[in-house]
Amino acid sequence: MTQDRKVKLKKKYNMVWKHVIWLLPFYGVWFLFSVYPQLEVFPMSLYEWNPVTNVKEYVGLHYYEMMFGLRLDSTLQNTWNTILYVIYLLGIQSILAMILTVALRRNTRHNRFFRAFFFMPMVFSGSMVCLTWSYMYDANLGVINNILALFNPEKYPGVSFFGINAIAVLCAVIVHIWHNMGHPITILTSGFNTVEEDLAEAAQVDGATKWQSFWKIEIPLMLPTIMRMVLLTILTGAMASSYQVLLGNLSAVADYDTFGSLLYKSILSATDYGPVCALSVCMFFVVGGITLIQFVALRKIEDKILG
Amino acid sequence: MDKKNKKSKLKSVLNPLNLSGKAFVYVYALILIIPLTFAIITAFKTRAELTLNPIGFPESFSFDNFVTAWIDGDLLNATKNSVIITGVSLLIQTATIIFATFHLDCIRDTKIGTFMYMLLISSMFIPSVCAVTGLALRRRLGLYNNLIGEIICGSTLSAFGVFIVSGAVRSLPKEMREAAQMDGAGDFYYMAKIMTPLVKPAITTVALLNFTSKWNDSLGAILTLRDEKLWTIPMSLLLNFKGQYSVRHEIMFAGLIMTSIPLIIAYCVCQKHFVAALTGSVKG
Repeated sequence: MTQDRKVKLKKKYNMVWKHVIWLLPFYGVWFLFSVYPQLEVFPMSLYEWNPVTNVKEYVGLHYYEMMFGLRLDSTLQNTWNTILYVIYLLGIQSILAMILTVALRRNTRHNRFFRAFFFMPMVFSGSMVCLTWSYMYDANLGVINNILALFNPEKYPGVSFFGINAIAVLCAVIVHIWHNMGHPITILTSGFNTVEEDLAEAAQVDGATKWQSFWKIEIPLMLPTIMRMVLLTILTGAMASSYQVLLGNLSAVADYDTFGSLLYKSILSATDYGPVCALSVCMFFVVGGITLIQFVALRKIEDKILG
Repeated sequence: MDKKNKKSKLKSVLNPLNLSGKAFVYVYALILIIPLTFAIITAFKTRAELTLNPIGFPESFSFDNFVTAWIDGDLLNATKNSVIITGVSLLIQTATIIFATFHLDCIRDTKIGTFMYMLLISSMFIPSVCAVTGLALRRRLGLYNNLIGEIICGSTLSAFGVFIVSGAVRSLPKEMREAAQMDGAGDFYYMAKIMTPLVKPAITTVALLNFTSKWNDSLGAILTLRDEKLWTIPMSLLLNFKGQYSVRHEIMFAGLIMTSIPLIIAYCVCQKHFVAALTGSVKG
């Protein structure tokens, strides 16, 4: 009996290892291309590193000193732009998505069509969306300026939307939202679908108004989904780079780079990878910090509301 | 009962809240449509018309811009590159995801299995800042500035894909696996012939998401594909038509529209999957 069991156990043990060995090559490639570079960023930020010849020379904390010494102003500006980007994105996108989802929540044909329609821009490439919008924002030929000129021909056209950084960031965020609106709407819709309508109806039978049952019953039940959407929005906002990079043009006067776009631009033009690595490390901590703070905050809010 | 229902329905339709909600939806739809409309109108304008009459309709509709865009942008070559890169890496990556998910699922009750799964999944929550070192690595390995490198790097295991597919695989009853084994089905047979068809919705979902992200990737490809002959569609649109000093909007939009048509068709055909793709990410 015990013999039998031992043989069985051994067989199971072998089976497990067989699967692990099958998995190893996939994990190896994944580790090589996704994990190893991520780890390499930290030590390499201490080196002067020529990407073409691959010669490395130790310089210590030199690049960090530069970033927080000579170039402190632009570093702070980038941090502020990143925070602004996240705030704009979270504020505008979440509220818009919430309103649209609630307006479209009944599963009629009309609503299904609009939900699918709002999703459509997501299939377009970032470059297509940004080229279209950079035409909309264009100072002279741009549609927005020309439409404004119909009302106030003295002032428009010729106004650059990328002159003041708070507005420039907003312009990038608008494009971001225009492109990705389908995502939060889909998440929220699926959340609303899981909330049982009976509960709200029962509350209404008991004398609650529609408004009350919405705020007191459905929203708390939806909370996990809303939290998930908020988390996702903040992360994508903090990591976003494409819209700022692709929208940029000659009329961009203000420095509206967030960490993501600054990192991308510096990779593109780098002759020394050391400072780029230092910037990556910085971004890792900023984005990681934002994620951690909001994660803790959301947990607390959730605990408080759900009791 | 029926009458009452109808009455309350009418009441709810005329409710000011509902009405303003509807208005909101239509206004947002308009905001979605406006840029696209202007893009289409502009694609049919001549250069002179664009400067003189930026927001009006063109006088005649000609397809000259489309021809120019196709030739000047070298879009044929770009389409070829895009199809090769996206097609091959999508196939390999999807197969990788299925294979890895199957093996991870087999050992999910053991410590090492849980560890390997959690290792992969936790990578989703860590902000990835490895672009620069990844680029340096690809230079060292000779995967820089060639299609093979793009394909290999696009085919690595995706944590998100494994997450979604394994959610579906876990919901399959364990007895099925045992029954298949009793009947003499090997691991590979079970994976390919029994498991995969059953979790097809999840796989389609992941494949669609990966398809759009690969097909639309421009920033990543700009870093690694320096040779003009290797440019993909989004890259050539961006790099050919958005010059440093002048943007030829009318030709650019002709190119954009031409290259977006396949995507719009793909979207209309599998719109349900696209939407389910994102919902799936929540349920998984």
